[in-house]
Amino acid sequence: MSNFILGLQSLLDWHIILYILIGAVVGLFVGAVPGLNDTNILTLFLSFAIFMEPFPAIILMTSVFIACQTAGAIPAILINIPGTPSTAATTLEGYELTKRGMAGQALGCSFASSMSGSILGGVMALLFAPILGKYALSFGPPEMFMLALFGMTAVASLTGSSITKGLLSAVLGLLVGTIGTDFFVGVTRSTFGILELCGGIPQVPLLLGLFGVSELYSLIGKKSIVSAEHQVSQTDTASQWEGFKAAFRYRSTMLLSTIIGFVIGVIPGTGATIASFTSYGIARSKSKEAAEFGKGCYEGLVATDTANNASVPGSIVPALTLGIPGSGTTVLFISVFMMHGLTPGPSFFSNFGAEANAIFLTVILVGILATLAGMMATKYMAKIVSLPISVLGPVIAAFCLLGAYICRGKVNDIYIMLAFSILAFFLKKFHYSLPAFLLGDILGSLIEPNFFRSLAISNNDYTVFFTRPICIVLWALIVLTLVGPAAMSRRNRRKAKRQSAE
Amino acid sequence: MKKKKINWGEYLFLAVILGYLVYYLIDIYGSAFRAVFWPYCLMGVTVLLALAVAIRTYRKAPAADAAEGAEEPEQKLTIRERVKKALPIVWIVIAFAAYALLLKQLGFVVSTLGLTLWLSWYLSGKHLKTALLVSICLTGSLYLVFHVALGMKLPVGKVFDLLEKML
Repeated sequence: MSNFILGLQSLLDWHIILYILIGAVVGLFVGAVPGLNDTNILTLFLSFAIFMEPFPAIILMTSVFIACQTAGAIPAILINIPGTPSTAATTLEGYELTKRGMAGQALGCSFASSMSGSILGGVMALLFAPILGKYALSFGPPEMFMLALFGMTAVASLTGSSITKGLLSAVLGLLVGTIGTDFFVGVTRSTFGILELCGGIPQVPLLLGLFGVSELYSLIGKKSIVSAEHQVSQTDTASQWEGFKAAFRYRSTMLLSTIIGFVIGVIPGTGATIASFTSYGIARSKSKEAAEFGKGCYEGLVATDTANNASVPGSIVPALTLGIPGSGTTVLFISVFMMHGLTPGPSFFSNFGAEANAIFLTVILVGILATLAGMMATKYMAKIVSLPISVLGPVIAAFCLLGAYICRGKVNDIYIMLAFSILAFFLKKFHYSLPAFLLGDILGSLIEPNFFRSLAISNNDYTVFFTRPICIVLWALIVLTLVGPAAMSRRNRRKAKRQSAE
Repeated sequence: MKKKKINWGEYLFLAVILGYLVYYLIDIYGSAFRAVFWPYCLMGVTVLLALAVAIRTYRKAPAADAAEGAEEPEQKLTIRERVKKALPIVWIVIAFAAYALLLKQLGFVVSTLGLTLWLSWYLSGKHLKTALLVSICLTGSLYLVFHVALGMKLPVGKVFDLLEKML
């Protein structure tokens, strides 16, 4: 408790508050611009961090990190382009709502969920960080493999109209995930001789192609994103409030998604993207309104955005307690500590308890701040949707092209983006599920290496996937998510039959 | 059996996927087991699912005579009309590819200005004034934000280097 108060005290210093404000504004901006994301902006920040004290630097990075996740939902909802890769799942429900002319409500709902995700996640981090740190270490390759399999069950909720087509697009995603140099032998697979593909398909061009450029193709014929009859309902404060309040109707989803997001955040090698997709899948399988998912429903939006924000404090936990990064961005956290000669690790909490608490308090604080600032700013941002296509088209094009190029400074990344935009165009045209494809691509990079690593650990004994306790729990969860919805709908049908009989 | 109205596009798409699998297979054939095991599994599943989708699409296809009457007009487009409909997309792809080709040569400012100018002109029904305004504002603000404020390295353009040397 004394650490908590000390942490709070250290936050009340005026220049720390200034850093938090700067971080929140920068994060909001970076999150809202597709192509710029937390990882690449914080990489640039490293050159400043050398000249700063370590803790103010970490506080600033934390606030950028969390504000990014909040703001990334804005373009995801308004123009179907995820502002940061982790908000890809937000487009599932958010953009559907925008198409129905409910952009304001969607933004309000997303902000409410982001805020509660940050607050609850921050509180969980404060409470469980010292304990959870230990469990993260017991996640070996077999558990990671099982976790990825568990993540794949989310495909079931992303398939759209046809199950076989959904599965096919997921498998195609997995196949695309295998492109590049393999992990064990160093064989280059399906690289077409392009050097840029040897390290695997780069994620940002892939995302921009799948969701950005392909959206441009389908926008060409229209005058603006929202059809004329929906133009009236704009994103005024009243409609945002409506969405904001609507989000709190799904308190249990919120809590569950926070837990999912936080736990997946803690596990090294996973991150906000997997957290939000998994949470979406679970929320759908346990929802009473499962049929509404994918057509623009608040509950799905609550699930994705809460989990995505809650994964941030989650991913900071192992970075501080074990020195193992839970996501790409937290690698940078560790490098900042290292630059100043501090090693995050098991002894970190006993030596720097107050500072660790200050970091989690920042998460909570910025979660609230970014939401307020975001709600004020979206009044203007939402005008984007009603812009004519002759303005919006060039904007999307320029952001996609620049975003694909600037991440690595490689022109070939633009061609990769174009190739995936064409694939996405046909996938959409023939009603295949794009999110399932994306999920396959993301999880593919976890499934294969961890499968072989597990076998290497166990001397080719396949029972390794069935005997470890966490694996057994994950198997049970997989069976539950796959069988649960079917059993539930069967029960409901029987109930309906009985009622009609009476 | 009734004749069916078949959407050849879907089968073509599946055929392209299978064609890619053949390329992939040739590319990695004969490599070590650990490198190929997982791709082979995925390929097998892909082939099975593609077959399943093909069969399903065939079964679900409406009968030819019903399609004649009730189907949306889209189905009856001639090849020329179809090409016309797809043309804007082809143009955009060409423009993006051209942008990628010219980015290093002309530099960020010139190529972005050119691309956005053309795209806005094309999408606005050839209003040059709007297009000029949009492209200049957009390119200017992107340059200010990314280059001036964030200090990122945007390509300057080899042409300008050459010009500088000549002068």
